[in-house]
Amino acid sequence: MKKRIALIAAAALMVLSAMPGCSKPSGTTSETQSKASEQKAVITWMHHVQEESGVQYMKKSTEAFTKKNPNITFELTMVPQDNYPTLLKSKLAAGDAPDMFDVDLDQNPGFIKSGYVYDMSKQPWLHNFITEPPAGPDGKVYAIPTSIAFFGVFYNKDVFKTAGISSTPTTWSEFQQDCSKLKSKGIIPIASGYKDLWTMTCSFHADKMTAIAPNYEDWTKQLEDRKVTWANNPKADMNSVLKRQAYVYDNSQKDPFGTTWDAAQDLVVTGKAAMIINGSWTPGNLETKDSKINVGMFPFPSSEDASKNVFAINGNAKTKANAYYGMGQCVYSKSKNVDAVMKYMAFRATVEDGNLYQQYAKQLSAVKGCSSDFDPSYKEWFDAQKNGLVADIGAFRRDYSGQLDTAYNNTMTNFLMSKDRNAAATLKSLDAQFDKIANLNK
Amino acid sequence: MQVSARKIHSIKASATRLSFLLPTIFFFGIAMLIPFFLGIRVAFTDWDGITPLSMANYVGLHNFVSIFHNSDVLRPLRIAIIYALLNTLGNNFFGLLFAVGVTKKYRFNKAHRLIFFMPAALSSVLAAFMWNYIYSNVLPQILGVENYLSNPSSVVAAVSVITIWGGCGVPMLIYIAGLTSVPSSLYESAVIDGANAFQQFWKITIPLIMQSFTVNITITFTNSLSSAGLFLAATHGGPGGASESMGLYIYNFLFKYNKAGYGQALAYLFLAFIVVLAVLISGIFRKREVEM
Repeated sequence: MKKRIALIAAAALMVLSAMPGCSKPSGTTSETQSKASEQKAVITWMHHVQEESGVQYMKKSTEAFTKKNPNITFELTMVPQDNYPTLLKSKLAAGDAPDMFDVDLDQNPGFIKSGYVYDMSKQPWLHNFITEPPAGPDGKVYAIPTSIAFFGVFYNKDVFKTAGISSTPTTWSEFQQDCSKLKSKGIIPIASGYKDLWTMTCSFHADKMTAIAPNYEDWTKQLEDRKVTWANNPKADMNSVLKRQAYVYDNSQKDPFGTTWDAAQDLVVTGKAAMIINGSWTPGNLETKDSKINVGMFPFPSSEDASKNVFAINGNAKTKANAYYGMGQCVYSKSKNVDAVMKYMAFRATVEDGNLYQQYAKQLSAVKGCSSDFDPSYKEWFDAQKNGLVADIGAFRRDYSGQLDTAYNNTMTNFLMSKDRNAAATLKSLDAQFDKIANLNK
Repeated sequence: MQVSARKIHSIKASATRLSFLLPTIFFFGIAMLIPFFLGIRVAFTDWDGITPLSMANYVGLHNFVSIFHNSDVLRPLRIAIIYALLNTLGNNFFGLLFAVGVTKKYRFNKAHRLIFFMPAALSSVLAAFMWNYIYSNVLPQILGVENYLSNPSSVVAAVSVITIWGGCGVPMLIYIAGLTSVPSSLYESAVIDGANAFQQFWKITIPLIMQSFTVNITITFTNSLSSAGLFLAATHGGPGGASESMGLYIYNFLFKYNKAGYGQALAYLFLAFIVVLAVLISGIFRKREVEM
């Protein structure tokens, strides 16, 4: 009996001593151990980068950082783009958010309202970027755009050569002529993988960014606030955008909505198709599929005036009224690893990481002083920059919030798939849907 | 004294039997009942699903009233009903066909039973991936047809095919249970009376397995009406919203559009609609059931 009591007492002591509130003040050894474990951090990073080139960069960047900071490691989780926003919101609402994630804060104002995103306004490394990350209406910075993203037409140079096309089209008529030339040689002019719906959106982006964005920074906001309409807006000729996009669709391979983004890229890599209209991550993707491919790029030629066909990039808002939070890398404000993440963000703002980004992701880094000679496919971009064909579109927003975005995408899909292609009726219908949603939001 | 001992024994036996229900009750409570009751509050607010619920405003019946003023709700409702009808028809037709086949005595009937049931063991996400590949790569190459999932006029039927392929195994089992409970003496008497195989099936089998029909049709129809996961995995409601079922429409309001209050109100109304339909359907079939 005595033995049993002694055993129970010993066990109780052990349990009590394990409880933090009941243990004795720790000695030197345990203090050192606890400090060491405090410094150790595993940064969780949720992203939607599916492309091998982008994944490679993330691997190299995190490895380079961990080499300098052995106590900080990473746990990366990839979620496909279509499910990414929903999962992120669920995780935030459940208090189970990753330390790092990227998001469009203007599409998700609730993130700031709820205090989910960390305020990075006072970080000294913000000045390391070519364009300082945008400060929103409250003057605070919550998202860091670490790359210079743009949309355009990416093409297989060898296929252009085969079709006898010696220079890239600079106007819409030239683009149409080149499509005809390609078709006459049995080559599909454009590869479209609209089964992944975001690629259709990118094709529209490429067009709108050239045709509308340079002179209409707050167009999206005005549409959402119902201050302007889709139809009959002399400043934004959506009628022509629809007609051009119908042309793109008709000059794509069979069944664009049944073709994935991956399959569309394969068509360009194998030379079956000549062009693909998408974002600045495309060259890296194509080169990952075939390192020997000669990729080139040019702005979507929406105008007959060559000087208006430019690569468009976001920057700071041109007027205070249009101040925006933008899209980029965000940090979870309630993360227990905020200090470690800030350390990594500072690394992301260095030339070392910028060059890694350009080398592996094959995209332009937003960090000042990075190499301009990282990939031959970007030669045309730097030429365009020299010739004044890169436009700063300030706070122009490409996407619409929540239900409006679905209404927009569904309407554009139905327009492309319709037989009559009635652009005027489509824009009228889109206006009616935006009005209805705006009323529902009141 | 003896009576009370018997009583204690009976209580113990009942408790043992009931204890087997505990895991189900626990998970049903966690996954269904608690969210159901917690959600009632949400339906009367303008909660966006992101900010803490305490920050949401009470809006009374506004969400419910808005639903009745929003004609857009009719489109996902129509899609859900078409999908549920196709599934109910397909699942029960193939379920019964396979059940009749595998209850016959032949060498591989057990293996066939297993093969027909196997797709039911796959998750709907996996089935969606497999069929996505079949629709986008296999069928266009073999038959030269377009991807049926990318055509607004065929997408709902194409998703139904996935559901029927993966779902008819369960009705098959219920039909097998029904078929094996029909006394063989009835068939023997029918043969003596000169009834042919079709007459035996129509006059004996069908009436006596009506209970299986009640269960299968009610479950398939109501489950299909609220389906969201398969549409989300296979089509995301596309192309152009042509496969946005009611379940997915509600999901979008709850998680995508930041209108959780509205979505929750819609979910309750749709639940009431499904309950009414389930009671009606099972009532109709119960009237036709025959006691053995």
